[in-house]
Amino acid sequence: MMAKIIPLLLTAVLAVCAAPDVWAHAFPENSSPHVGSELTASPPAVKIWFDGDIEPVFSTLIVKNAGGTQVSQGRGQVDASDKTLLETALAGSLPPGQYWVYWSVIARDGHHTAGRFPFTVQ
Amino acid sequence: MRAMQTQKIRLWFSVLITAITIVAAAAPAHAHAIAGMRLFPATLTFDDPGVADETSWIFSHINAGGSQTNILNLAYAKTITPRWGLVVSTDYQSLLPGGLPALRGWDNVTVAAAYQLFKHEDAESIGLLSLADSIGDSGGRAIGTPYSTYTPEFAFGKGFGQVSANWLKPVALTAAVSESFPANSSVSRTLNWAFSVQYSIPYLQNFVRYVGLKAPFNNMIPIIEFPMQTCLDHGCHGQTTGYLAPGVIWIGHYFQWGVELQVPVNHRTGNSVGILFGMDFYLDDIAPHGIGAPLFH
Repeated sequence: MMAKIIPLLLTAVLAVCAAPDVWAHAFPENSSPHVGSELTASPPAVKIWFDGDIEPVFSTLIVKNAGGTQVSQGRGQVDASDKTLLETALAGSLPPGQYWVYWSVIARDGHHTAGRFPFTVQ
Repeated sequence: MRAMQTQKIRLWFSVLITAITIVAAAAPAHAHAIAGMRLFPATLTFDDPGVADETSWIFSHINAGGSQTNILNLAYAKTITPRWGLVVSTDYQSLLPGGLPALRGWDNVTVAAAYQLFKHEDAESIGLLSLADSIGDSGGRAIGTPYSTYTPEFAFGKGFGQVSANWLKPVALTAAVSESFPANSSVSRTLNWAFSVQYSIPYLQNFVRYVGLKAPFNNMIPIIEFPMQTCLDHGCHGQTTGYLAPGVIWIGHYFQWGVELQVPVNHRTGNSVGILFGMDFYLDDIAPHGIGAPLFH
């Protein structure tokens, strides 16, 4: 019995892993600056690469200083040529201090994820 | 002029339709055990605290008291609404008692109704109530039982993302407490209590501090589970058995896999180490507009 079940399970696993046209919850894969990093100078922009395409209309990225004041321009935008990249320009050079990046994205299938992370300018 | 106005109206109309489509499509996102930034993986030895669309296959192998036990557990969870779900499960068991004939067959089918009691995003906490019925006589003669067993359960999860110590933020606890009431007075009632301690590397790298871990380690959650059972009456009153199950769970887009050891906590449980391997498929991600979506919103 087990000898029949295991090949069936493996086949199903491979079929699911091979399915190319599906999208899931989007989570960050990389960012600039890195999560929790300590920078010696203000970054020119903040960028987050996700592990799947995200919807431009409702995906946002905002940077705030320790006092809660927004220091980035607008609500961020999804890169036109790379739908996994959410980025925002900063309103100016950041003075030393801790900053928080707030992101909220909707993946292609409609799943919403959100998060925040800090970085520091020394 | 009129052409420009018509174009503007068309533009706004298309934006509106896009917005409605996205908001409607976002509804299935209630599935999955996610509370705020915390994703609670499906644990291998007890229920996770989320109502979800998923199917899990867990294989365990252990030697105890001179007999070898192999179990393949299969479960399918379906959301009826974003808060209500049904779970159907069973397992195929192969028991090889030393020197005695082997016992093989299907266990009873268990049907459970689950309700997502709470989910607090900022506190990374999530709770679930469920009532399961292991249906008597629904399994094979060798393994199944002729009587039903009813099991009410409370499961919850809590992430430590709000604590001030950065090294603690990736930690999460999950637990489940239930009592089994067999519909046969000669069979003991059982208190089932289980908990897990998890350290989420995805949480560490995405929300606390990037430490440079790449695939496959960046998606791993080292975990230790403690599935325990305490007998409540008859001749075994107060006796506890259980395992300490250290291992790792890897979470991906559409599925997770995990492998854990099963170390008996006392001589009553056994004296050799077993192994667990499990896969869990996130149907809400695999088919978000099909079988992975709640039946009613």
